[in-house]
Amino acid sequence: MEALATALAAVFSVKVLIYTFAGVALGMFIGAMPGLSATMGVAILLPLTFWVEPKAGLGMLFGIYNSAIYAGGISAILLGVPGTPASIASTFDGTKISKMGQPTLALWINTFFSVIGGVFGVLILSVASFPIARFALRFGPPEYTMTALFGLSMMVAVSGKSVGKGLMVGFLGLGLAVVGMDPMQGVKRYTFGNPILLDGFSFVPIMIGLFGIGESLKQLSETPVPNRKQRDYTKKVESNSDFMEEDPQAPKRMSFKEVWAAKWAFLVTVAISVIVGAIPGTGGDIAAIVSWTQCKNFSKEREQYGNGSKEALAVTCAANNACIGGAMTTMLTLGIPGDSVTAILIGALMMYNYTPGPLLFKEHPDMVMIIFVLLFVCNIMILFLGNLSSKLFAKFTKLPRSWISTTIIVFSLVGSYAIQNSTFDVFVCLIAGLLGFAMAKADFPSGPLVLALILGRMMESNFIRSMMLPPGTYSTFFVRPISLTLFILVILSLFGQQIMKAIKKRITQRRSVK
Amino acid sequence: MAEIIVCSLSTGLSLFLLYFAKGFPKSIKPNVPSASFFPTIIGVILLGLSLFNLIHALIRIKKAKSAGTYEKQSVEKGKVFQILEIVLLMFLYAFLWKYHIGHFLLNSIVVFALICVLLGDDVSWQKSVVFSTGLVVFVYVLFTFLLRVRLW
Repeated sequence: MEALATALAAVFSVKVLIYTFAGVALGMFIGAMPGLSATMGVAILLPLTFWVEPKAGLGMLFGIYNSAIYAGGISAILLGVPGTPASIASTFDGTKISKMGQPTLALWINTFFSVIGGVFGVLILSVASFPIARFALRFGPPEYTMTALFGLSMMVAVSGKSVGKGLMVGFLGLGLAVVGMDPMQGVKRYTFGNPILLDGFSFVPIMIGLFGIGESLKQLSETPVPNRKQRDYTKKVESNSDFMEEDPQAPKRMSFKEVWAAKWAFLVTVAISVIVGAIPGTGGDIAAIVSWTQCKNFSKEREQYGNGSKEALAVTCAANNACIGGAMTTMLTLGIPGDSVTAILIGALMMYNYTPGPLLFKEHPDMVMIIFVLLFVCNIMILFLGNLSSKLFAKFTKLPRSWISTTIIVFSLVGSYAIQNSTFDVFVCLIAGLLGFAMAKADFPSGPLVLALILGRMMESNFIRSMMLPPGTYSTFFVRPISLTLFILVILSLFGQQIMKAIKKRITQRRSVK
Repeated sequence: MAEIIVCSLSTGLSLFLLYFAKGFPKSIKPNVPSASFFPTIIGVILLGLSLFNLIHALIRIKKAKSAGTYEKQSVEKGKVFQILEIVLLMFLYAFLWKYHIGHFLLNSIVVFALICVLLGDDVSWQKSVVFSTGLVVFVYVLFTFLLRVRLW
């Protein structure tokens, strides 16, 4: 209780609240804009937070993360275009409710259930994380090596259509992670006399490049080629008629009875989403779709799902934000990012000299409590700002694309420089941007690269420490139960599908022979 | 095409890792992997995966060509030039910054106004110039005066 009181006192200072509010507002703008994602927002605005105290900086980043995920639903509901990938499922019913003349009701559902989902996610995080961290304190170097490998394998397994592509990108990231001083003997590797590279590549410019510049170029490549001679600026690109008309008789919010009726669907959604969020490599999109499908199976109004059901919209909105609690649990307790945003947040915490993992709970329980309180405050701010200004943020979708792309490029380049006052990082950002663009065009996932870059060093140093333990052979990884279990999980996550297919094939062959 | 570029880059990186890993000193203690251990392992696996994906992509392209379903360019020709122009401008900007040619504000206003105009198929160039100038001044004030970052 004392720790909670200290955390409350730390968070409820003017500076922290202003930064958190700014993060929430920026996140709403980013989330409401189709094409901008929470990952991109957190990556390009991360350098802005280096210059303030950790709690204020983290407040801003959590604000962007939570509210961007929430605000993705605004454009999904009003325009039928998901603002972020996490809100794809919100288009199933949200757009239809809006088309029925009830856009205000749909926006209210989005705000209310996103916030409640987010709050439940934080509650589960705060209850579950301490026991998980206590358990993880038993981990030694072999377990940490396998945990890092497991995180990477999960992201590879779920982030793309092809495991081969995901693995290649993961190893590309590991290849970049070996640049710098060797963790045990201090041998300079691939630095070529450049002192900036002694600590390895700073992963922030790489992330900014991949998710900022790379995504901007990808979006540019997907818009039609302009006919510059026949431009007509008098014609607006999008008109206000894109927004759904409001029926004056339509309810503006759900009644208490309706909300109460959706309680089981909501609880199932929160449980599913927290678990899905905790699995590295998954995210709000998977959580929302899985929750929507599962709730449809047992709902009384299952035939309404997909046809403008309020309960279905509530389920998808709650899933997106509840998922954050799960992703944060894995990130804080094990140091493994649940998704790309938490990968960047690990980087941010490390910049503030807080290394996520079980030791964070042992050495800095005050900071852990501050994180819980910040996440809670972010959700409360979303409730107020969302109810007041959802429609206003939706209007930002009419800003010219060129302005948005230029803003991303400016913040990406200047932000990359600002981290270490180094133009070398600007070049790193640009090259990562080009790589990200090529990878996006070739359908290679970027997530495993970022994750490998973060986990690579942890994996190498723990691997070497493991080899120094008796018996000093590879058997170290297989004689310890937790390490062995994690190794089996790595194999299953990478080749589980192929193994199952092979088993099924053999069974069918045997049956046909009989 | 993009797939072949990424796989070739990855192959190049793996060969680079393997080539330079040979020069790292050996381990001082027995049982402790040397500084070249991890880069070599990663290099070998990356090489294998890159070649696998490269061959896979080439086979798929060949099959698609013979079936007549191969789309030569996923990006339109006009777009390629537009992207190239923007990329070149960004690199030019970084070079000017690195070698302290000109001034941050002036360079940024000119380069980002050009980028905004190149991107701006939906607004007039005058509006793009005004917007990018305002944006650069805002970023300059934010970083220099509020965050105390020396941008030049």
